[in-house]
Parts: sequence; C-alpha cells; structure tokens
Amino acid sequence: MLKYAYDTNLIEISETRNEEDVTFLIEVKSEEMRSRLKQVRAYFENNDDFTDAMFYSRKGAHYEVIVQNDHYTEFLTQAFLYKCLESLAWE
Amino acid sequence: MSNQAILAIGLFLVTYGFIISEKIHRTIVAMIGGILMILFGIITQETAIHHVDFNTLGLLIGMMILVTITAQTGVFKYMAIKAAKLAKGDPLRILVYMSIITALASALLDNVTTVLLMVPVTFSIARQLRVNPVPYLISEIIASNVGGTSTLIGDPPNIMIGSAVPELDFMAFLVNLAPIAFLIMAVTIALFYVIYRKQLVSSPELQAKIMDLNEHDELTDPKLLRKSLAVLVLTIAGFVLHGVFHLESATVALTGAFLLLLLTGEHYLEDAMTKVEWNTIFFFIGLFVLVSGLVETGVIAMLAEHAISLTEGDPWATASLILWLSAIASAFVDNIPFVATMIPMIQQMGALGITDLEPLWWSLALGACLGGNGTVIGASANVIVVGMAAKEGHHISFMGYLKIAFPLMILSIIMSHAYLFLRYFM
Repeated sequence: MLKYAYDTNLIEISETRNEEDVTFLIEVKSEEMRSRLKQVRAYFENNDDFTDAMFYSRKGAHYEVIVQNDHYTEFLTQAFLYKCLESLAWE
Repeated sequence: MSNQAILAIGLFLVTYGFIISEKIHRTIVAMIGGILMILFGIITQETAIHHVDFNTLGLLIGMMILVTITAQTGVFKYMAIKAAKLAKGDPLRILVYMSIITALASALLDNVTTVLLMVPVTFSIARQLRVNPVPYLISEIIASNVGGTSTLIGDPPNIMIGSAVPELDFMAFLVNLAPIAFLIMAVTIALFYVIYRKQLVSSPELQAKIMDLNEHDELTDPKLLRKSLAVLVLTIAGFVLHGVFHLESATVALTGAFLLLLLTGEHYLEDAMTKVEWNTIFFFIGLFVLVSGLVETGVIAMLAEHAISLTEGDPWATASLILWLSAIASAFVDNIPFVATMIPMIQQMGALGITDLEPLWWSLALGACLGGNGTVIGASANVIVVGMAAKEGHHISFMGYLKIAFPLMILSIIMSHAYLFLRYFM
C-alpha cells in the first residue's frame, strides 16, 4: 500500500474511496503550493485520458480531485514529483 | 466519353471507395488518388496546383492556429463551468446551455476543434453530477453541426462553398443560413429536453457542488487571454467585413493567426504549428486534385447535364434534389469529398442555364452540414466524439446514435426544405 506525507503548513489532503475512484479533497495554503498542484493538473489534462484524474477548483483554496482507481498511484507519483508531497513509499 | 474520362471516373470511384471503407487513412488515399491523376496523365501538375483551393487551406490553417493558442487560456472551460452554474447545476438545463455554447462556438470555430474543447469539460461536469455523459455528447455533436451550418467559417462544406463562390461572403452565409440554423437549433434543444428529461437527474447535494466551482481558476493566463480574445474579435470583425474590403477569408484568418503569434511571441509558434491538423490540410489537397481530374475530362459537366435533365432545369426541383441528395450522402460518407465534387457540378449548372445559383449553394450547404448529423460517421466531429467517449468507457453504438440523430437530421432537412421554398421560391 502507498503511504504519503505532506507538509501541513502548505497543504491538507484527505481522501475518500469509492468503488471506481478515489476523491481527494485538497486545501493549498500557499501560492507556491497552488502552482505545484496546477502542474499536477496540467500533467493529467494534457494527456490523452480525460477521466483519469478530474480536477475541480472550488472557492477559496480548495480543490477536489476525482482519481480513477487505476490511476491512483500515478496521481500520487505526480503529486510527489511536483513536490505537493514530501514523501511517498510502499508499505 | 473519352478514355481519359473513363480512367478519371475509375480512379475517383476507387479512391472514394477506399475513403468510405476507412481501411487506409483518408489523407493517404486522397493524396494517392490525386497523385495518380497526374501520373496517369489525366491532368498535369500545373493544372492540379491550379485546382487546389488555397483560400480554403489558408482559412483552415489560420483558424487552427488562432484556436490552438486561445484554448491554452482556459476560456472554454471557464465558459462551460459558468454555464453549468447559470443552470444552477440542473443537469437538464446544463445540457441546454452546453448545446447553445457548442453551437455558438461551432459557428465561429471549426466543429472538430469545438468538440475537442467541449468534451473534456463535459466529462468533468457529468462526473461531478454523477450522470451519464452520453446525452451531453450526442447533443454537442448535433449542436456543433447545426451551429457550424450558420457561418462561412463554421463547417468545412461552407468554407469550400464560400471559397469557390467569391460573391458569397461571411455576411451572405450569416444572413441566409443563420436564421434556419437558429430555428433548427431551438427545435432540436426542445426535443432533447423531452428525450432526456428522465435520464438527466441529479441530487441537490451534487448540484450544490457545481455551484461551488470556481470558474475563475480555469483562466490560466489572463494576459494571453486578453490578447487572444482581442485578436479573435478583430478576426471575426474582419470576416464580417471581408466582402466590403474585397479580401479573401483566408487573408483574414491568416492575418489574425500571425498577429496573435506576433503578440504572444515565438515560443507559441512551434506548438501552434504542430497542432495544425496537417492530415486534414493534405486530405483537402488530395481531394481538390482528384476532383480536378473529373472537371478537366468533362465528367462533372456531364453529371450536371444529367441532373438538369432529371429536374428539367427547374430551379426549385434542382435545389430540392441537391438538398436531399447532400443530406443523405453526408449522413453516410464524408461530406468534404462530396462537396468537393458538387461544387464544380453546381458551377456547371450555371453554364447550362440556371440563372440564379444562390439557392442551390444554400441547398448544398444545408444538406451537407446538417446531413452529417444523421449517423456517427456523418461528420468528423461525430467520429471524434464517439471515439473519445469509447476511450473513456462510454460506448455510443451506431444504432443507438442513429435512433436519436437520424430522425432529428430528417426533421432539420424538412425544415430547411420549407425554408428554401419560402425564402427563395415563393
């Protein structure tokens, strides 16, 4: 199972599992983190798959990201790559 | 009939057959067909180049560059989310608003580009509401083809007709085709409302989530947005006035495209150039050369004579024949090669005694553009959307689409038929 950690001063992440997907509720606490999350979003929006990870920008600094189960690892990997996460490891 | 003419017909039919079969990419088939016309000595290379309509190609390339850069601003996502919020998150009202946006965008942009921009955000909104995206996708296909019918730049058949007939400028298309396209769109949306009212239901909680979306966050580059919208508005103004200034539509589109590149800087150039659909551009070139073989050997003149004898030269009967033939043909085969063949035929009808060709051009435009709605293979936008839906696990079957779209297409042609009669023949 993948475990991740993040800096709670910069970002808050919670996730809910459904049958087909995982919904992430994300709050970014700095412009720098918002910019990093946008890079993750750009990665998923510029690929050929429209529904692998769908980003919904909400009022304030909140985001909802619906990630298909098949793309869960990919989403976390990209979040780690763009430094939204501090660590990512198999446990 | 000369041996050259028989050879040209044979080559044309074989090429057309391969295009319909979709066994080999249509661009490769059309280019090989065109090249064989030259290799077999039916036409010379010089004649072939003379028949390539560079105005059509320039207009397509210019608009593709403009849209590629504008799309990067996120403005289309912004509009879709804004529409969903205006609809208060109600799935059925969202379908109506998305259809209207698609129709308006298709009137000003290429249909394929419009659906490519609309489909991802459609999936996103449908997922948020937990409703089936297929009704939205079908309504967007139909809206893109109906919206595209209303202007010179909205759909490839219109681009080709406008380019072949210089007196039919942007305003002429708008004045003659927009009223009926508007009427057809209104009736179609009302029917969609009835057809999908039971399918598109969502909970108040999910609708509230739509209302909570922040559409402003979709606008990724405000500076680029201002430049893009300014140039887009100038370009559309240029289309409205191109007849007054005696400018070809390609001049307007290319001016807009390269003005935007001048304003945005060269780092957008490479990306914009790679996103030009060169496949489509070469498909057009191949078709122009292929049809030129039929023109130069007198085959088109002969077909026009047959059509005139069938209708006894009566303009109303001829317009009706063109409208229905174009609609049925465009529902099952690509409307671009069909229109490429019909244009010289209608021009020849003028030489054979039909004095007012204008209603015939509108018949061709209405038939070819609206006919494309009939089946999933009727127009490029249909094929693209169905392909995108299948990739995301939403299969739109040939018959499933046909059951909804074909009757709507027939209705739109009946409405067009009545419109043509009332406006040009009463």
